[in-house]
Amino acid sequence: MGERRRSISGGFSAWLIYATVALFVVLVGGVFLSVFLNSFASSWFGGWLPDGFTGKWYVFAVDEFGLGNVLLVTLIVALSVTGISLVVGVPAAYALARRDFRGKGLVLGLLVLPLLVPPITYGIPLATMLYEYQLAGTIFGVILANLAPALPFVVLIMTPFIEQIDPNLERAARMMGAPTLKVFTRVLLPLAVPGILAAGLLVLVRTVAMFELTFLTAGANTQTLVVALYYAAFSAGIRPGQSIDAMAVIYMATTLILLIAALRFVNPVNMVMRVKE
Amino acid sequence: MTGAARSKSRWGIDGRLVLLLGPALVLVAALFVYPFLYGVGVSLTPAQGREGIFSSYAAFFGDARERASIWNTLRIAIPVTLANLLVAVPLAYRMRRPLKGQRPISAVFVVPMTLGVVLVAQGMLTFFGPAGWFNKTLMAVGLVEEPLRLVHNYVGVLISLFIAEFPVVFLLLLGYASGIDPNLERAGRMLGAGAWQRFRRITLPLMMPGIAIAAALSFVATFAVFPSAVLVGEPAGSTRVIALAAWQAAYERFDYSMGSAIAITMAAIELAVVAAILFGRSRLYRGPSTGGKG
Amino acid sequence: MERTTEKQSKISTERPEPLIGRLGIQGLTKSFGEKVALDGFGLEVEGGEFISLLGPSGCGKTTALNCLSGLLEPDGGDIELDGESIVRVAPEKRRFGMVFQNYALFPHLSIVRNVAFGLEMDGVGKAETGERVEEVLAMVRLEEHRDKYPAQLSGGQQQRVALARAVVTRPRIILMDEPLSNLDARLRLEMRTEIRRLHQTLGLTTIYVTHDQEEALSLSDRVVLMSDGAIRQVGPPKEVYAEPASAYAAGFLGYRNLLPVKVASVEGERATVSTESGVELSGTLRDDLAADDEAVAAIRPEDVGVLASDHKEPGSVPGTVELVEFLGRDSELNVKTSFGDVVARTDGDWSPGASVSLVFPPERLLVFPGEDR
Repeated sequence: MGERRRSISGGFSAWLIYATVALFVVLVGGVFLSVFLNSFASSWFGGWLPDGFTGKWYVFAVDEFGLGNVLLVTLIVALSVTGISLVVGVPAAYALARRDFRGKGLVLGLLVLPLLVPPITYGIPLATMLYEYQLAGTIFGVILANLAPALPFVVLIMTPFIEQIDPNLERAARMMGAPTLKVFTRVLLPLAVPGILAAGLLVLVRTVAMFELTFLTAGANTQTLVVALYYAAFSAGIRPGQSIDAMAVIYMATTLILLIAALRFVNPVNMVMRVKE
Repeated sequence: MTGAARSKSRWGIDGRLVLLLGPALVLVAALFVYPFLYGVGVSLTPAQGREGIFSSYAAFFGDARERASIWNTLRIAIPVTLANLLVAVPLAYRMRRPLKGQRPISAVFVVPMTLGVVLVAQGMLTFFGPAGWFNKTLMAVGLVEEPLRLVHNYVGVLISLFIAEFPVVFLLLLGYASGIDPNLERAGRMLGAGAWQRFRRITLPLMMPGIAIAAALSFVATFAVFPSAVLVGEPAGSTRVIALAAWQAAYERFDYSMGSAIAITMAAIELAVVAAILFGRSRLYRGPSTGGKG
Repeated sequence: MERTTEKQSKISTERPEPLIGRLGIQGLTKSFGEKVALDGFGLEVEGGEFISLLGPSGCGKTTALNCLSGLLEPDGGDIELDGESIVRVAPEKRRFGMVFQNYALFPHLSIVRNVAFGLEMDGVGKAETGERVEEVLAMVRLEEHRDKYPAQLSGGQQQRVALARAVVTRPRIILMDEPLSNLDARLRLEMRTEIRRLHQTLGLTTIYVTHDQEEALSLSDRVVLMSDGAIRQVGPPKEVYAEPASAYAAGFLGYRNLLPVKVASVEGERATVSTESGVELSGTLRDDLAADDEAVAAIRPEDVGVLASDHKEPGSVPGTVELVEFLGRDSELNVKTSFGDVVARTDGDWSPGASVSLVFPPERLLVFPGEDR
């Protein structure tokens, strides 16, 4: 709508908006670009651009940091966490969306709580507990640890999604004689697929980027990419910075691919969780 | 809910509900609630030669350097949260109408948020370092004579957290701002309210719930800062944050009791601040953000 | 203040002085990209008048209203209030009141604070604000709800609050954008009376947008019928009702039978027209037409006479009753004739399948040129 705005203040605040966005883009873009360039630099001794370009750091990084294994671990962990949290979380979300029962508020609060508490807060006790059960350092332990925030995330996303699927559709199917399983697979599931896809991709992205929990529970060869990157950054004095940046680029690429896939299904504004009151 | 007659207790719980919700509740209980309680238990068990049920807490609060980690962390969390809000609120307000560029702009913000703090911190070392492009540009333009010290210190942590957290706060507030019925502002205009009055009397009060949530989320996330405090901060000095203190106790000194105690303390502080924020906002406003049925 | 005689019969002599003399709208145009929403909208409104903009969705009535309010800037044209051009004035400075379709009450303010909002913006003192708010709340009979919040009120109550909020500032003009569309049928009738009463009491110049012809006819001093961004007819309700100026107007105002015909012969005001099936009818010309012109013959269901089939009056048309809808006092019949379906309303007792004779009184059968949609 060609809505009327007060011309002077409207123009100024618009300019301010674009300036802020541009500044943010420039800064963040600069950060990533310098990492990207450095990873291809044969050396970079303080000029505006690297002194030369090479791809050798990627090969070096893969060997030096055991990236093959790391990527495999990341894949296994992320997919397992996503799979389990969907299988357990979607039915739970259905129950919360459709059913009313005493203590529902409490259950909802409990399920959402892990998202409100930062991982490192419950991560240390969780890691200690896994150690007691001899699961520390195993890939199973890492998967369990990452499930703690992933499951609530799925529930949080899927519950409102299922709520807005018209319950009358299920009732209509039942009235036409469909048994419960058929109602589920022929009516509910097809309608829920976009939400499930979105939730799954978001959980995948989050798990790949989730640092603290894996950091606290992983062993030497069950690290995910982001944890390996952290340790590598630590060794900056020993190893060439370019190789660390090469690893960073690999991590960036992995996450960005998943992110772009997720953005096709989800409006970015909805990617930020909305905590229901 | 209609359907085949099932035996339900008065509470509305039946076999099917247990089947649907049970596994999720079990997992959350096992992976979150139990560890938390377990951690409380561990924190109350004296270790490493100390005596007394609260000895780990006493050891933490008794040591000046350990105690300082709380203040170090607050010094980081509060400014970043405030900065996030101060920049995000006007931005979200101005962008509340479905803009043409809204989706790409939001996508731009989502990227750093997703890539995570570790990558941002690592990238900052190059970009904001003494020989990095940021300083180079400032010197080339003549704004500064010597490179600014922006990494391996307090400022570096602030910057990295701002980059990582601002998108979350912004997108949350944008969602809230655009969910406010546009007719409310039109009604305000017709009643004679100028632009500032509309913001202060109509939109801002209605955004308050969102602002409170964003503040709480941002504080909690920044208070738990860990990797960036190490990578771009001064982990031995001004940016020795409480999460680091907990980690060092548990993983370097193997003092699990103290590590848990510090983690529990961290949770308590977060809870206190969040409660304060939510309590404060419930005294200001209640109700939905549409203007009625329609 | 003296008014013309036509209007005097409508307005009660107790109506107070209006706050403005005259609102002049000239040649408003507005396009959204390719779509032309307003195409030269012009109207003269006298102080105290209740004007309805009537038409279907997309006819431009809401666009016109938004241009009047200032929320939308027109591409061209002018708006003059008592001789002063206000088309460049910002909405917050125009001192117009507005009532929205979805009420737009501030959810975070109580009813009292909602109504007082405009007065606060005007800088009216606390004491006077309090008095005027109480006065207007009493007018809409919501005093006991003063401290409640909008979410606690029903739709009808919310709309009354919206009205109160709009009138308390004594605006020069009140604009209403389909305020009753969100209410159920019974509430709509109640609120219509409410609006009528308010207008009677306060005498505020009102521009009212609606797609409901009944609303427009019952509330207005003058009805402005619109389609495709332009005005098709303006006049007092009686006139527009009895003398629609086009087939479009007729169709919108209840002439549900629109028969495509050809003019056979013309005699003064009377014309003989023939349908596609060759049936000849006699009707009243509403425009200049000549023999062989394509035309539309329009008649209201209640004007169609329904007689038993053995009544062979001259000019009667045979037909078969297809559907009967019982409406209490009357029934609505769908009668199949040689030239199509005719809707008739009658208090007779008929069943589907009955053979009837339809009578079309010439003075009630209006003949229009045939270009209209």
